[in-house]
Amino acid sequence: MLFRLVVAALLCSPLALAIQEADVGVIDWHTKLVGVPLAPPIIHHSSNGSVIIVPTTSNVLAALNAADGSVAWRYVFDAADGLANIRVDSDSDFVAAQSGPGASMLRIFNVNSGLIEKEQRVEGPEGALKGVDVAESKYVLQSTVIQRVDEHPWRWEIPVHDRGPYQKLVSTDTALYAVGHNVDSPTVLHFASIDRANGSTIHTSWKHLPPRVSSFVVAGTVVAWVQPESHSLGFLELIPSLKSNIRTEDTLKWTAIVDVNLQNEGFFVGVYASGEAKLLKVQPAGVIESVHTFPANEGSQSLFAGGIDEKGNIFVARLWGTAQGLTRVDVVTPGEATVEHKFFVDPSRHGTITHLSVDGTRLVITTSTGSLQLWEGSKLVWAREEGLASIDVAAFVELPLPERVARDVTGEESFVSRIQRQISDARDFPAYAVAFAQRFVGGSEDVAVVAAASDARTPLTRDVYGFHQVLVVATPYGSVSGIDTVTGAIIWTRVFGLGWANEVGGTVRPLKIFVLNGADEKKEVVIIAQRRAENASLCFLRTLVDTVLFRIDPLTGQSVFTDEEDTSRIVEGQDVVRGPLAEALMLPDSDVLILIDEFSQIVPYPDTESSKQLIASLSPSVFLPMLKSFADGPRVVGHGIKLDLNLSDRYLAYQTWSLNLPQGEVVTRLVRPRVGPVVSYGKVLGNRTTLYKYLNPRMFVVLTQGAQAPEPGCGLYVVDGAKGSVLYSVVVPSGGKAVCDVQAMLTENWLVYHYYDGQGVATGQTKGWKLVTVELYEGGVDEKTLSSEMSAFSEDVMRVDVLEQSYVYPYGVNAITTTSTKFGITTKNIIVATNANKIQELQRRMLNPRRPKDRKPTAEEQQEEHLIPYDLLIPDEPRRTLSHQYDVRGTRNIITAPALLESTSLVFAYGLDLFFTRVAPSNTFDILSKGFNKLQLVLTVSALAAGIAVTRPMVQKKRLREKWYQ
Amino acid sequence: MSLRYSTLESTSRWRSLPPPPGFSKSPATRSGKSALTRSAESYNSLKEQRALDFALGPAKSLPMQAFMLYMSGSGVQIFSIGIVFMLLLSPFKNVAGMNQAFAQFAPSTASNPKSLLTLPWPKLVYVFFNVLTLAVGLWKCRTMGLLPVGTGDWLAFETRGTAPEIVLF
Repeated sequence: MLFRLVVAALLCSPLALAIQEADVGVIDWHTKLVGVPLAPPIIHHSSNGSVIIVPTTSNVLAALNAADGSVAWRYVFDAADGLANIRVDSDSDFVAAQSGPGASMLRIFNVNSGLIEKEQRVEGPEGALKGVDVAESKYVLQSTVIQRVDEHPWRWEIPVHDRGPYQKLVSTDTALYAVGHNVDSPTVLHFASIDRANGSTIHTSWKHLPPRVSSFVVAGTVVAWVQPESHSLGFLELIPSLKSNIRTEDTLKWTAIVDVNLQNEGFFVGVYASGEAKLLKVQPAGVIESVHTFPANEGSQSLFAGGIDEKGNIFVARLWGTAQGLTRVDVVTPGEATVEHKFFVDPSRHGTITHLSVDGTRLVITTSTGSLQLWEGSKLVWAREEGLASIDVAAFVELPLPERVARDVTGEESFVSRIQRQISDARDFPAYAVAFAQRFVGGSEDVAVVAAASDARTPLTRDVYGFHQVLVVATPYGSVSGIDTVTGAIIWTRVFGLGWANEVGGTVRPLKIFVLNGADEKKEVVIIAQRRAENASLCFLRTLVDTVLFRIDPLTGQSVFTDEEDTSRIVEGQDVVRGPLAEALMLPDSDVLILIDEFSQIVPYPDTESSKQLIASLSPSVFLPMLKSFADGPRVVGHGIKLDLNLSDRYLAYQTWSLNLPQGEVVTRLVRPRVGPVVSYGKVLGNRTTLYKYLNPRMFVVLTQGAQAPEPGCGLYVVDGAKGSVLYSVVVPSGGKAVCDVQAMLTENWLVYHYYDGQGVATGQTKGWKLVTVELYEGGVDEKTLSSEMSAFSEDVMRVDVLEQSYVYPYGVNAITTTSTKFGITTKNIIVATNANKIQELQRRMLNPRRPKDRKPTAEEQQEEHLIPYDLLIPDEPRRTLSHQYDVRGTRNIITAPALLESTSLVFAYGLDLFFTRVAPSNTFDILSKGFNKLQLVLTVSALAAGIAVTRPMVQKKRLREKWYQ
Repeated sequence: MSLRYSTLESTSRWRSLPPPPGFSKSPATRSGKSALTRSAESYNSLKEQRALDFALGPAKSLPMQAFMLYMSGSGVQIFSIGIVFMLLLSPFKNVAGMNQAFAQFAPSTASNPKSLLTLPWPKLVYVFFNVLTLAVGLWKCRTMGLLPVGTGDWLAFETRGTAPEIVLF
């Protein structure tokens, strides 16, 4: 029977290493994001429907389908190719994007398909640009140079050097105009009119403006501005000869004019002192006429936007907050009645509204937390949380156990009430029994988990295998969200409160996240953030930057220390450190954090007597390596802590060591070791001998950049954090780049790093990405120094035996980490985010530095260590691509967390996109595979039991008879 | 001349039985007492010969067993494990039942045929060859990697304390 079981288990174990097609979308999810819009999104209509075109802070140009908010296409610009300007050509289906240094790269995208129609280098003038623009997808302005880039190219340069620079291109039938505005005194408006066909100068001209004119608007052929001193509206018509005069309108006290993106139609908005605003239209011959008057503001905020729908109707909308906290939008079509919409944008979830776009009754808004929403009148059609494209910190949080505790009965209860209680307790039994039977018959655990997770009514509780957790993520847009790991849905979002800086405005940027144990075995999340007040003059008593701590329940987003009941308000934090934070760390085996301020004082959190005692007891043995900036660049400095009552009543971090680097070499990054349970203290070789691992728990990695300017050497040091001794060091080339890009990962005694080797000097060497695996041992075979319990000041600390091997890896790597499991028994695989936009798993076996070179592994090595012969190339294994066909863009970091199953590790990659999956590096050895036929097993066992039940009396009878007749 | 098989077996239950009526215990022929003694002695030496043969039994099966071990390979499989178990268990079983097994070869003079001291030399040889069989079994275990002889086999039992210094990252 046992033998049968074993055979059955072996047959059913997953032989394929890759993810099964049926698992896609069940064990993983992918959220495609585009980033927070830089400017109001542009709604463009084409034959294939409407798309919303957004340039974003994540360096992405994207088109979203207006119907459902899905990404129609997106183009992710390279980090070195920063997006400078986009211009949608409303007449044709093209969008032009200028990017790169000097905005010298022009790309023209097809709005419908996202394909690049044209990609061209446009050499602009030397030096920094003052303004860039594109007109009709063929005229390109770069400060002082205008070029036509279609089949009749020409290049126009500013003829007189005191003219310009220009910021805006206006294309009319008669000529192409460039308009520029010089904010230095004297304030001057520059013009140039250029022949469209051959690029010859028709005229250049300039006009003095009254001082402090900060901006201008072009509408139709009119350039308009507000003169702040006289509160008058100045405007000027563009004619090819540039001979028109400035005219002013001063019947109303104008305070601002707003461009509503209706330049060709000649509309713009002027706001005047009473708070009212007029929609203005440029009539032929340069006359400005008021079309509509918006009444005075109710709330403080006011946004204007204009748009054209499919039929060519023009809409201009004004958005403001009402006194009741609602958002009110008035949409005006010239010549028709105003349509008013009111809706509620929750400030505690989305913050304030920053951008508005309009298209008929459809409104697209962007909020301060990066939420992009489309409202149809007063109904929300879709929302995209684009703030998640720039997550700063993220952490996995385990869910609590379901509350299955029986009600405790206090006092005596009557028989009837006891029966009633037992009946009510047994109410769930049928469902439980059905679920039990289902579990026996099928193995579809995942589907059940997914179903439970997508049902919003069921409380968040831990599932059997611990796959269901909450990801708490915080963004630089001052919001924190909880994401369900099963579905990828956002469970809750809260906006960080500004505290005292609420009156002056400011930003809250999360720095660190910790998961602490709260009351009742529940986890709590602590986010330490830096609050930067925008206006320091109002708050001279306090510093400009200070540190705030938010303590949040990961299931609901509720703040823990204010014991707030409702989560419909902004989450308020606790001011913990006045001034910036140097470092925040967690004391081992406790729930105490220590925050180190700019004066090296140590502030414990929670600031209680017991945590002070803990610090006092640990103070002689605690060391803190930190990255500190000095005049010649950042340096790694080790600190001890002590109490000196002459200096401060708090413990102080004092410098104990500093890492001495060669002249000019600066530290770029520290890589913390990934800490987990250590199961084995050594590696057993094929002949039963042992290499003892060098398990110094104080090791960390310092990445540096050398001094030689064109191609600096990139240093990597493994340093003991208590004494600063260098245990391993290497210098790798920077790959022809000015900035080092070395990715490294350290866990236990294993270091893996990745770099680009562009030299390939010797014969037999290649250019390419290199992946190096390094293992540190205490010595040769069977030599041990007990490194894991050794003091940092013991002389044996420096006894390190290094095994290393390097491989060629086919991709560049943006992030690298290892899997982590509950007990650390499972093999640790490497997970990397490649520059091919994939999340890839690398087997530990491939990265074993004992892989024999130039010989075959012996039978023992093959059998016991599973050694494979060394091969220079790590093969590109598509089966090990965790993200399969998903295009996971811009990954900046990968975090992993253990599930309750030892075999499985949860993986979350974030950057531009979010990607979650789970991996089993040694296969799911602790769970029966889905294909395992439980039903057959159960039937076999019951058939055998039945057989025994039938034959036992027969056998007994037979024996009895034998006794009689023998 | 009648054969008295019962005299060959020192342990026979029938030895002490009285002869049937009319049956003379002494042989009909006039063979002297010396002849009787002589035949008993020859029987004893014959038994000792047989005891030595028995003691050499394990040695005789050893080549065959070694060949089987060689053929079963070094993998840990049901077949090789079965053979190894047999090899490891049979010497202990044999030595434990040694006195019982040798009792049939005890000389008729022996006061207690089941005593350890009867037939000491064949027993010593017997023990030696059983130990040899055990050694072969252990050698097989070693080639299969089942003997904990390397440090790697004891690694799981090693423990480490914590380091005196704590570094916070």
